[in-house]
Amino acid sequence: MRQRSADALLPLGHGFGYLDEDAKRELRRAIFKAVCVPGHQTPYGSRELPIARGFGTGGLQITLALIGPEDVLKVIDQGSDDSVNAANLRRLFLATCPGVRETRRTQEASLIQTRHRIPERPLRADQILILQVPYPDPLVVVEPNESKRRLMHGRADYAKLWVKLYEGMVTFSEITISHRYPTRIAGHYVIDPSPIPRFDVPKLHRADCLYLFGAGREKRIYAVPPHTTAEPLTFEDVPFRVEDFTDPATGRRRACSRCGSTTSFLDEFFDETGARLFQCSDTAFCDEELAGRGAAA
Amino acid sequence: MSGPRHVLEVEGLSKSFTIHARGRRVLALEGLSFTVQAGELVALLGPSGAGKSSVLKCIWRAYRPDAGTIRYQTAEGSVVDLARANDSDIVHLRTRELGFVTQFLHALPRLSALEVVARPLRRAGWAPEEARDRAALALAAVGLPSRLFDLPPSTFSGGERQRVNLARAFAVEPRLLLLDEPTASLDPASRDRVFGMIDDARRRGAAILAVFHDAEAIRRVADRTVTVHALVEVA
Amino acid sequence: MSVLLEVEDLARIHGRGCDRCLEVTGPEHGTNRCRFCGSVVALRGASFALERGEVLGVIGESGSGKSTLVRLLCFDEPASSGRALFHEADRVVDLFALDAARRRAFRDTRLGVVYQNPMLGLALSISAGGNIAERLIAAERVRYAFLRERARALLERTGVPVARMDEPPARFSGGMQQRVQIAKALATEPPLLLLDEITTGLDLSVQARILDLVLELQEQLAVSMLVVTHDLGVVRHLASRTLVMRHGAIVEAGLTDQILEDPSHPYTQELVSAAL
Repeated sequence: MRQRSADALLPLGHGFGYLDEDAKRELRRAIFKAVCVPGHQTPYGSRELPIARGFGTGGLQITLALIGPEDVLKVIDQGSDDSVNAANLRRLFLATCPGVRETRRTQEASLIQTRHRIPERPLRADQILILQVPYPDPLVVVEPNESKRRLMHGRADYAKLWVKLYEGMVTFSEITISHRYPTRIAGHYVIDPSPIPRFDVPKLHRADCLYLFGAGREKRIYAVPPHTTAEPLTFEDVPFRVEDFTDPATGRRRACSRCGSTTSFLDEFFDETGARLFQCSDTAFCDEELAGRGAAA
Repeated sequence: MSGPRHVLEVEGLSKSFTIHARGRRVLALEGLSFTVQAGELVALLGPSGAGKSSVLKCIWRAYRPDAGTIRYQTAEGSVVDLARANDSDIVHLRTRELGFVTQFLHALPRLSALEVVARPLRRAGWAPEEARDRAALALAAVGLPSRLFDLPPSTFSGGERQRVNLARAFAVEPRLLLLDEPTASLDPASRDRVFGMIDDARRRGAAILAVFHDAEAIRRVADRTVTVHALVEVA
Repeated sequence: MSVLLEVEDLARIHGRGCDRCLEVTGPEHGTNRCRFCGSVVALRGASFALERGEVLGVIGESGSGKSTLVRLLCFDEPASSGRALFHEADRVVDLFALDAARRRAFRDTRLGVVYQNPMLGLALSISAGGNIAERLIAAERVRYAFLRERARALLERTGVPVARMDEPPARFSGGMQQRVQIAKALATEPPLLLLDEITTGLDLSVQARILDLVLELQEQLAVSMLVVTHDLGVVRHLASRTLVMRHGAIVEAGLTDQILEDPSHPYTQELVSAAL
């Protein structure tokens, strides 16, 4: 991820990676700190970008601070490489980072910027996953006062989050949080892992790769470094459960209607005839599964 | 070597009140001395306003004496000067060894008669069931109809209330009983019952210091009398 | 009898303070405010001991320093000077020497606080059971079944209908909210309860029931209590001993009936004669 920046004057009139060198240096410092204090929300000065805040500028800035000409980049939005947000971000990267190669294959990428999903294929130690974060602080739902929230994080005082889980149990007899599931990192800080489904939360735990989280509007960066524990908050007697894709009609797990995978996270939609369909949310994974089956056949 | 010990030995007891708002001092007791032995009832005599109740309150320590000593021999045999003992020790003695019956019952408004009597018993160390049984016996002994046991005394007549008051004090079997006109609001039959309870307490060895409003009660239960003289008010 | 809490020369000064603050304030000067620097001496020279299992009353009008005393003891406010020693079975804890984390742990496990205003002690929009759960979780007990069972038992004990445990206290009457507050305070079985004007503003009959509950709990759990109130009736029923406060100072201390029947300080006499 070595950068060569002042050398190339790019068509847009900016140096390599759009951001100026001071901005990148500050971002890298914040990233280092975030890695050193796993789960801690590190503040940084979020820069103006040609994309509006709220459209992934937090992830974008992390990627721009890390990327170098020999990097291979994958950009995903809700599991798909082709959705609008991913396509626009990819265009910006390709316009500002000459030399960078894009890919859709998860295992080829050195850097992956994503929104709302973690790829199905486990990531390796030489890969970094960068998540776009709308709301970085899991405590914001229980404590409106920012300085109180900071104290609570410092003291690892998350009783109010547990009370929220308790209230969900009381009302619905189960934990009702579907995404942004509060997850305790390295036994201390609780993070908002961005709007990934519960299905993806276990992938954070003792992973080989580095996970970085960037919130552009809220100006926070946090990290789950490799081999770090990530435990979803739950009661001892109410185990954490991921989404259940069991078909109540057959009692079996639903399969992707396209590639047939029975292990991936499925999106539900309706076809032209109004029939319910389930397909892999990770489109690259689905394509590879399909190709793999084709090759095997 | 000392001779037979008194349960209570009051010597040179003085008490005055300073009323700041009026800028004056009222003398209530001066240099009063007397003793009470185990199993003895001493009645305080004196005109109304002489300070008979003040003597009882000084011993109970609702009043802080100005001077003098109030030597009390505790159940374990040590001697405590009630005039100077610290508040916590007084609290402890009140729970276990001292009893005070006034003309009025002070209790939480909603408590049942049984609970009013049982509560101090539990505090003095009786187990909850024992305390209940004992409280019921004490209420029966003062002649309170059992249908009233579970009702709050605030709904009772004056005489019934006073019987609860007496039952509460006698039930814990205090070693020193202070009685301030305990029978004033009672009918003759109840009064005789109370005299019977006083006799029982004396047989048990309790020392009793009492103020009675009628000479008949004194004739009936007092072993000795001590006269309290009225004092003049000083500026 | 053994001492649970010893408070020594406790003081709280709001403002920058000066050398003469203590000289020119207090009961004998009739004011809390230092005329040289304008600081307010909310509490000064407060010393007393609380025995195990004892109920100690603290009485005084608004501004007398009685609520400041409570806030210092539960770390809601920092003390300006003085000490508070808490006697555990095997050690003595110097409360104001504890660091922030230990203070919090102390408050979570050793102290229960019940406020006049239920909004200070409860999250009114969270269920009664959830409020109790929060205190239990703070003490690191996170089994759902345990939280339910404990909340149910505590509400039962404090006279809150268990059927209502999943309702938010916002829907409860004032007296019921105080019961939930008391249940929450008792959740971790603390040896010390601080009760700050808990019956103020309630109907008389509700007041009596709350006092009755407090007495019952005191008897059953042998918990020590500091009962702060401006109501003589409350100390008469609850406290064996009482402190009288004025202008930030304890002006008189004694057995409760003695404070009521033989008050010696001019202010106490005024207070008692005003109430009768």
